[in-house]
Amino acid sequence: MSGILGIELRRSGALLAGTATAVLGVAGLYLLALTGQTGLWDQQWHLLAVFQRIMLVVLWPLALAAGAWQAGRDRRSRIEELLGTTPAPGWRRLRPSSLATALALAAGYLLVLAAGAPKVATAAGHPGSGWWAVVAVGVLALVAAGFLGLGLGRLLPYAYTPAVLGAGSLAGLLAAIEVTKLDDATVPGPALLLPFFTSTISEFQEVAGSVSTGQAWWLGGLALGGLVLYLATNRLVRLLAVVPPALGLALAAPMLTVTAFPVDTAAVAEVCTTDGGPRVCVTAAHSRKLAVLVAPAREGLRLLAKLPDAPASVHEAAPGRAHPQPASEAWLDSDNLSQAADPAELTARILAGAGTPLCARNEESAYLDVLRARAVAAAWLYGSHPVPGPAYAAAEQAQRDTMWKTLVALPAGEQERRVAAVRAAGLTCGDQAAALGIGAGR
Amino acid sequence: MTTVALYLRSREVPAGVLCAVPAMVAVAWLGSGPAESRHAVTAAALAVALGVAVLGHGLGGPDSTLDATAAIRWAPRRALHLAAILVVAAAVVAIVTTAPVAVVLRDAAGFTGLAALAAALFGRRLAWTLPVVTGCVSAGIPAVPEPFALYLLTWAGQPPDSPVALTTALIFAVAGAAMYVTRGPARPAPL
Repeated sequence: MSGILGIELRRSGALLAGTATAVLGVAGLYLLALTGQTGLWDQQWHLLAVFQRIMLVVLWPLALAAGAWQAGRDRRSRIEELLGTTPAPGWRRLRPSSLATALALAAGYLLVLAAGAPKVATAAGHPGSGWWAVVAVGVLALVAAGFLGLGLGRLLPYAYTPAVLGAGSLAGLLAAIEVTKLDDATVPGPALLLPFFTSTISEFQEVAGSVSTGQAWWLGGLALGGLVLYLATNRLVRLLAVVPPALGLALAAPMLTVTAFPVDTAAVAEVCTTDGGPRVCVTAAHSRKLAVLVAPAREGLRLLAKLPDAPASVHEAAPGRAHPQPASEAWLDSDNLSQAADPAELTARILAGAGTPLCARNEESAYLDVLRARAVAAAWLYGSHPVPGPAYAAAEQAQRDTMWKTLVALPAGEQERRVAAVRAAGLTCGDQAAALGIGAGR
Repeated sequence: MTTVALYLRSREVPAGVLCAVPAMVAVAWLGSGPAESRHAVTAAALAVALGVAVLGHGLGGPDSTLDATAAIRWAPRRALHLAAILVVAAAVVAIVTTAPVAVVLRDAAGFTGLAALAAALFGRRLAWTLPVVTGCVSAGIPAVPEPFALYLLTWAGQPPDSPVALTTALIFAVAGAAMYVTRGPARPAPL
């Protein structure tokens, strides 16, 4: 078998298809490095696996076209009839070429993973688990494309089949994205049947195990159907090719109704300092940033000690961390870790809202007022205004200056009471702008 | 007249047109949503790529080696054939799609050049490869302005006023046409 397989690999487009998959995939990963956007996939193993699945939007139709091209080889070489005279059953003769196609495509997909792996290994905070299932389903999706291409190429043995399948299937899939997008929020199910993911996840999310299982059933059914179509020698067996995909769909449908991308509990688990000083904790996903956070966080705790009932530890608050926040902890929004330019700015960001994360949403009308109140509270704790950080537009800065002057004009006890109120409001996700009581219309 | 008919028959052009026109109409129609939307532009690019890929099969005859022995000036005929592919693809897609005509024309020029390049390099049977691969990459990746490499790769989906996309398409068109007109379709290796 390995002898025949070797010949098939040498005398077919399979290796070329695998190479093209690998080259396009690696280019897709590293083109993002030109704009410093590799954060889209190198933060977590799960992110790399999902990003590869997103790239299947291009690779999947091309694998389909490659399969169809492969299926037409005997006919192009005009040896169909000659081979038909051999006593061996047809499926036995076709089996090695399907195996070669599958192996080459799978190897190409895994090469992309291998190319991305070194970068993820140096950036990812924790090894993660379960992401290999996402990779395995991706391999299965690509192999299913190859097999479907082989089957359809044998069913429609025309010179135009590969081109029409390649570009046509992409057009169909893009239209399917548009259709499933409409009800994405309420019913994610149909979009999960596409051979690729249409959206990326955050470093705190994972792909639900049942989604991977369901997709494996559906794509496995598709692959088996394509294989039956390719190897079948009579019409009746060809008709049976619809059975595996239908069966796969029936098995998959109930599994795809769950939350597709739940919170990865291993990624949001806390990693804390153990050196005896005030505790500083980050999520496992950001465990590499703990060393950067420790000094600014302890400086922040020292400054927060001006308040009554001051916090004793700093924690990174991943999106969706359950409130209320204990009074003994200072929380810091996750994105501050990557946005802060230097330690002083990181300290100022911890002090924003007196050690509470931002609760107001961008679309709320009071959003800007809350940001200003948080910045003024940080300045009071930091001891100077403005605090280290990015500069604001002149009008915005003038408003903050006015609020700062109003605050420091108050009696010392009242200043402390107002900032403590900002912290108290932040602990329960209350209105921090109202708690400070300074600013436009207050 | 007979010569033209014989030429078209030897290149399997009628079958190609019968396949390409419905395919282009279907793909362009699938994406023709609200006018000038991004989706319409990518669908139009994909439709042009598909049509040109199918029509590109006619860029060579069954036996290119035999063609080469004929005492015929092939160069003007090849150029005419390329121009015909461009016009047919651009006209069909421009009628159906809601994307700007300038985009359709630019993409038709670029993809025709790519098909000619593939025919000259790999032969008529693989003339579909470069247009389909480029078309899929262009349509599958959102047409973003940054980084420059992605901007180049998604040339077919870029807005009509993008000079870089136009230049890319023209480079493909000129390079492909020059190579195909002077060298003709690749000759299969002797068995």
